[in-house]
Amino acid sequence: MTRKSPKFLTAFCVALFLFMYGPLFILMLYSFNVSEYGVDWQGFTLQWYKEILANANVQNALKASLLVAIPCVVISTLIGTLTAFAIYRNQFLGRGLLQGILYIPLLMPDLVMGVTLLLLFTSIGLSLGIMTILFAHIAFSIPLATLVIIGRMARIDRRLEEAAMDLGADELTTMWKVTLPLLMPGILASALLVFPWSFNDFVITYFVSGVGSSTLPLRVYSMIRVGVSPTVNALGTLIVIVPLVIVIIGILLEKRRV
Amino acid sequence: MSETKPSVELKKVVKRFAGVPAVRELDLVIPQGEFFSLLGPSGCGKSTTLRLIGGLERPDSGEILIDGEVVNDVPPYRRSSNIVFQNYALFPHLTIADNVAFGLRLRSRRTPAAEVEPRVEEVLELVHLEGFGKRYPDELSGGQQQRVALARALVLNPRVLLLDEPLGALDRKLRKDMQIELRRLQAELGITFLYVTHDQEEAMSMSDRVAVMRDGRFEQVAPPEEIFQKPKTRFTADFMGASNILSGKVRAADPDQSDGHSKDRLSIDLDSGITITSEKKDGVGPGDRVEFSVRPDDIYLRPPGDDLDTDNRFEGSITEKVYLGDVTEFDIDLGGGISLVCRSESREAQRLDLRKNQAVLVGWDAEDCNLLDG
Repeated sequence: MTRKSPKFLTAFCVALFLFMYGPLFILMLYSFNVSEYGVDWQGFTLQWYKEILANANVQNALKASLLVAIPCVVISTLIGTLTAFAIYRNQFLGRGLLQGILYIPLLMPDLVMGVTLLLLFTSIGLSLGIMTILFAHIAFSIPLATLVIIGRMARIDRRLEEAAMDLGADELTTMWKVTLPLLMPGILASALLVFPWSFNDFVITYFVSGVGSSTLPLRVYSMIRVGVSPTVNALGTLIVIVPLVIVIIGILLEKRRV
Repeated sequence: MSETKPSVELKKVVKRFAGVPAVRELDLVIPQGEFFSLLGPSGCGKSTTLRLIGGLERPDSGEILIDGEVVNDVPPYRRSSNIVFQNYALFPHLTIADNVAFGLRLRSRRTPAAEVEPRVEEVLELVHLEGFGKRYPDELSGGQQQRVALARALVLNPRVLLLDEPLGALDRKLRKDMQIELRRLQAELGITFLYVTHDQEEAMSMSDRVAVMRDGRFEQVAPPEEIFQKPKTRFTADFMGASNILSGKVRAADPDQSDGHSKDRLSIDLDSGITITSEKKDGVGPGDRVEFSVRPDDIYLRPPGDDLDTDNRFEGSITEKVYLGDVTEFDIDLGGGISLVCRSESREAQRLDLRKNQAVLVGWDAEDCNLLDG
């Protein structure tokens, strides 16, 4: 019995990973296929990558995506940190309620969120474009950022702050020299989560983007409406690989530092 | 001038948490340079008292004075006291040297940058951690971390050092070493130490004076010998390990004129019918109900038929015998529902061949009967 179960577990794991990552590998494989339409392998090429990188529409979409994702990371992480402080460090009426409300956007269907934001923007007369996309992304990223940072905050020993105060640091100095450095892993984790959260969003962005402005996911969508081409495969591969490499480098750097 | 003022003074200090009193009207005076311990079980208010003095809690009423100045409204970062925390509270993101230098480098302290490093080295040397400056707290053992916490507080030259169960997490051997070390540091630096512990041995071995605390009040404040030998209350007696607490009624003062110092004696009828002789105590007379304690190691045991020249002498039987190393502990049944715990040196117990379920002669002196306050 004890011999058998590891074998079964191994098989199960392999099957699970194939199920999860198999499609991705096929996509990557076809991005190097010479054949444009067929599913048969006709040889290796980098042609589709060259095409996609030279495509002005894709370039603009990438620019738009980054223009949204980067400010979104900065602003929602900042607001998330402040919100986490407010909720975790203070006792006030409705504290529990506020924390509960924070979860709602995470559970709300994107469709509903998209429609609501669209209604809001049109009713206050904001013209749809990059700005409305950014506002929308910040709106759905703040809860995520806050919850990640609250999680980290709960693990900080309050006595460390008391120790700092005892050693002569006033409240602000304590926050600057002790609390924030200890919170940093949480803040970084929140940034690392918010970035793809914003970069990958399709549904909400679709509602609030208006005409003319288009992020990368929207561009990909419009490209596959005319059929799955190898250029889309190449783009998909890049979207998966580039952030993955960045994260791996980050982990390696973090390991070396300690 | 300030030398004549007490180092720490509490005047009717009260602290409640959500309405529940943690500290009730504490009055306390600690002179300069004293090693003072707060001793009590968990939840007795000893740590709260320390936090009140350190400024981490604010009293609901009463006054706290450090060096003669009321500090009720002074935040912790402006007090001349420093705390050594129970679990050290070292900053995990800073090296040992940066931990120790934390207080020195703050702008409020205005230490010239050139002075910081030599000061840090000096203090690390004082706690025998020279060369550890570049490491991080999680690379040090518990004992070493403890000494870093000590160094971090001492480097600021506090007037009062507040130690909150600083040795609680260390193993027995290390704890003994650190006790001696702390005593040495305190003597060397002449700083007032306020030491919080639940370990009576620790409090005994280090302190000039000990306050036994219970439910936010002091049961007794006295030098260790006095607390140990003459506990005032049942609680203190029990907490200090004088676990034999008996009660009875005073029959007469001066029970036996034939004895030379009998004028100082009381005769007490125990509830079980036997009568014992105890030392006299002011305000206790015939007819009063009293409780008294006898320390287990003040009770002598002899095989039946042996001589036992003590003021009180009874026949009993050994119901339990536990070997504890240096000493052996016996449970003795005196009959009438009275049982006593006695402790003899193990070698003595072996020589006398005292065994379980054996009859035994039990005795103790009148002066070892410690009458407790009602």
